[in-house]
Amino acid sequence: MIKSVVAYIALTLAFLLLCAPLPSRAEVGQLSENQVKAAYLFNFAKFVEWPASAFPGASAPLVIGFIGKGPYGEAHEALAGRMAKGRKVQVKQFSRIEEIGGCHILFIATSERGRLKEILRALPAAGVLTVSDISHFCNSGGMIALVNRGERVQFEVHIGNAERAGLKLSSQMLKLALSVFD
Amino acid sequence: MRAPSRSILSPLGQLAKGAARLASVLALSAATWPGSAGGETLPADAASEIEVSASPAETAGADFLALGLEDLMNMTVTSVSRKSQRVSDAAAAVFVITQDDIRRSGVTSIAEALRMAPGLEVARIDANKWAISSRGFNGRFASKMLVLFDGRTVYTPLFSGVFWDRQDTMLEDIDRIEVIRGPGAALWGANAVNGVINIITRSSGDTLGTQVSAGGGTQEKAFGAARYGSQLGEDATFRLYGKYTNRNSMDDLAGRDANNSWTALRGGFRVDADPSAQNNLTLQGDVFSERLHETYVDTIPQGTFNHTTPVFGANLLSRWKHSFSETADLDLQLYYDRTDTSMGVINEQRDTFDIDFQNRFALSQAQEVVWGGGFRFSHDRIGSPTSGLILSPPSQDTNLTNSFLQDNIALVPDRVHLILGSKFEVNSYTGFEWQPNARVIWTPNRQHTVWGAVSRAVRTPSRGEEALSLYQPGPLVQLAPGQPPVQLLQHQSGNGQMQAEELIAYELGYRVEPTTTLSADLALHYNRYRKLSIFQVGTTLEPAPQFPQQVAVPLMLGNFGRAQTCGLELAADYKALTWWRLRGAYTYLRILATETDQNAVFSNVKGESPQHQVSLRSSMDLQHHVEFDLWLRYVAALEFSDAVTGAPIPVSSYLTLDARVACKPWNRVELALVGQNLLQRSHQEFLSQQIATQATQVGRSVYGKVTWQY
Repeated sequence: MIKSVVAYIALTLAFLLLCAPLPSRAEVGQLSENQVKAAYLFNFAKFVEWPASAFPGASAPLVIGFIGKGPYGEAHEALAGRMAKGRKVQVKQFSRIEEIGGCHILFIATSERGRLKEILRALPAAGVLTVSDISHFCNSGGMIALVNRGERVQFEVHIGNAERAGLKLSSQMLKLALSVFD
Repeated sequence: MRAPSRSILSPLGQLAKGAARLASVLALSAATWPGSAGGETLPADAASEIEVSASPAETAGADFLALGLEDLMNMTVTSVSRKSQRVSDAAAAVFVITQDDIRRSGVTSIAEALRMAPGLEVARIDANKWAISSRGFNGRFASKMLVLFDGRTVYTPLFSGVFWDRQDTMLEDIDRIEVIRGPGAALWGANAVNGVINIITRSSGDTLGTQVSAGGGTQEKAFGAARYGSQLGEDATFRLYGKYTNRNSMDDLAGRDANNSWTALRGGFRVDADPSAQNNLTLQGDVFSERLHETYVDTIPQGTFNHTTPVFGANLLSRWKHSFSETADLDLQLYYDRTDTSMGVINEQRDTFDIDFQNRFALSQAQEVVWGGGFRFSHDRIGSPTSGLILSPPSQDTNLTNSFLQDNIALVPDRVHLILGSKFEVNSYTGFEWQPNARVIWTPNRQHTVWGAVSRAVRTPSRGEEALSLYQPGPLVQLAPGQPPVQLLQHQSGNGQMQAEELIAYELGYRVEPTTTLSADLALHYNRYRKLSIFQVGTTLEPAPQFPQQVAVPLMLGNFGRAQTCGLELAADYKALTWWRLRGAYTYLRILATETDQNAVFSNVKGESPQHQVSLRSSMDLQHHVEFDLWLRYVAALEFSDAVTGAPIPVSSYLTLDARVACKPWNRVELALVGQNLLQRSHQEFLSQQIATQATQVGRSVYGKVTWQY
């Protein structure tokens, strides 16, 4: 029996030595769900192409809006002021539907499930990437759904909804998506 | 919004408010605690257009933004469910087996997955039979545990146990398995004496798309499964699945094929609809057909013989959940379940109808009440292919009415809660039973939780205990000097006057989470059982009417046993590195005393439960999406007593290792190679003597699996 335990430990150690982990992942400690979601939003800002008309000028900021209730303070702080696509990221928090406007990415919190359709209808026809963790978001007219899979947060995309808004999603994004809807 | 699958944990005491701490542990059930994410919520009105001032771009805390999409997809997060009750908030000994655990452990059945939970004893009797129990009293017909599959009771009233071969679905569709050791934790369902297991499948909204998997190996000869999920109108989703398994036979103790291979074919569907934010509807059903090869040994009158047992089952369940507000909701569940089986020694057809409801509301700022009730009707037809085992009458209707009430009182908000509750039930065998419990949970801060509970629980008699007549081989005795010895029979008979078995359980638990990467959970228990159902040996031999040439030793069932047990269960979870997680579980169980009245004979209760069990799991996420998992298990030796002579029959302790390597050569394809019980050629895990089938040993095995998702 002791032999078996030793063999087990040896096997484990051997694997540790053979397969050094990816350094980028080792440096970041355990993340909270909201940190991961904020990081997704930042990545989407980098991987999505907006129509030129979406930005009033070359120095106009890229605006990430949040609507609904949730502990997103940390995400706001982390995102605000970062650079994406050569533009400064600006963060806005909305509570009323009429306030939505002038943003390039809109994150819709689950608290807004009941008025999701109203929110989507209130958006301009083009230029706003919608992201949410509401379930079936992609089938409810949304573009990118953040979904919980086990202990991971992953994403699904709806290309049709994004294209109708004049947005182009990078092929790398589509390749990594959990599901791609047309 | 997740589907309204009811968690057994939901009505338990917890500190829902303020649970927005996104630290730690596995989060449990969705849909049950809408208020739980309240802590850091921005007030809706105060939030109009805040502009956050730009912070220095490269602060250390913001480093997570630098992660790429691929890293994010593989990043495990500390808490996923928003509307959830955390394990650390439960005033009970709780363990959750997640979908990730099931996948990464490489198990191929629900029974095998339960080996991950501390406090449970899982022993494989042969390829298609398991003995599973919590906190002692294990056996193929282990009776003191309640098992629910999406809220449907799968505990059979024939013998108060579970046929584990029938409990299956596509393992990828299981969201989690909640395991609670100890009584009183579940508010519904009778007979949750030593524990409750709740198998909860994922909402169909979480299983959209197509998934096909197939594979095969030495023990798992061949298997395949397919599932398709899609949108059904605007507010609903559905899935369909089909699954086939063909498992090889395990060898007997001498290494010969013991004729216990089996095949199973099953299919099912699930529809989840959210017609409005306040209403969730679920409709689901399964149908299955199995063929189990079995070798019955030493039966009367056939002796040892092979038999192929067909099993058919079907069920249909609907559930409606309505939320009145953040603090009030109503659950209503209806199901029908049918099973039809022809075992070598008994045939059973059973139809069960069940209706349950549950209502939760806040009585005041400091009190939350959950109450509910249910009614179950069960109709059976029993056939006896052999004169050695007869259950009478051949058809019976039984019903069970139950209700419960629980009050969760915040003595010190978010710090000390007192939970008082009781179940009340009326059943066909023993009439009225009540099962109160009192629990206290103290959470001095987010790192520590201490809880304690005192509960009374009962197990009501089963159909078999009421009206069994079973002949088995008895001792060889010399009745008079000078004559050749005579082979006697043993005649076990049920008792129409059986009372419920009773338990008073004292429990104490401590959970600690010193850092975000380390958590531990300790549970202690001391149980006092009364009126345990055991056999009393008659003093005079009786003739056996079915077997005219023979006489039998009568064994009459009665509530003659008492026992005391104590134990300790420890589970620890250590995220050593972002890509390496270690989990351990240790279970200690001691049968302190067993006493009997009136010449009754206990089987070897002390010997039949392992005193020590250890499980160590290592999960590594290596480069290029390679997952590498190892699982080491140790189970201490057992000792059974021969049913006839009382002679000890030892089963050695075993140490074994499972390993799984999986990779994703293409984005939608996963290849997995799994080795099970690798450390020795084979080992025996159990000996089942009641309606005995051939004892077998679990052998080393390997299988490969391909999963394709799109």
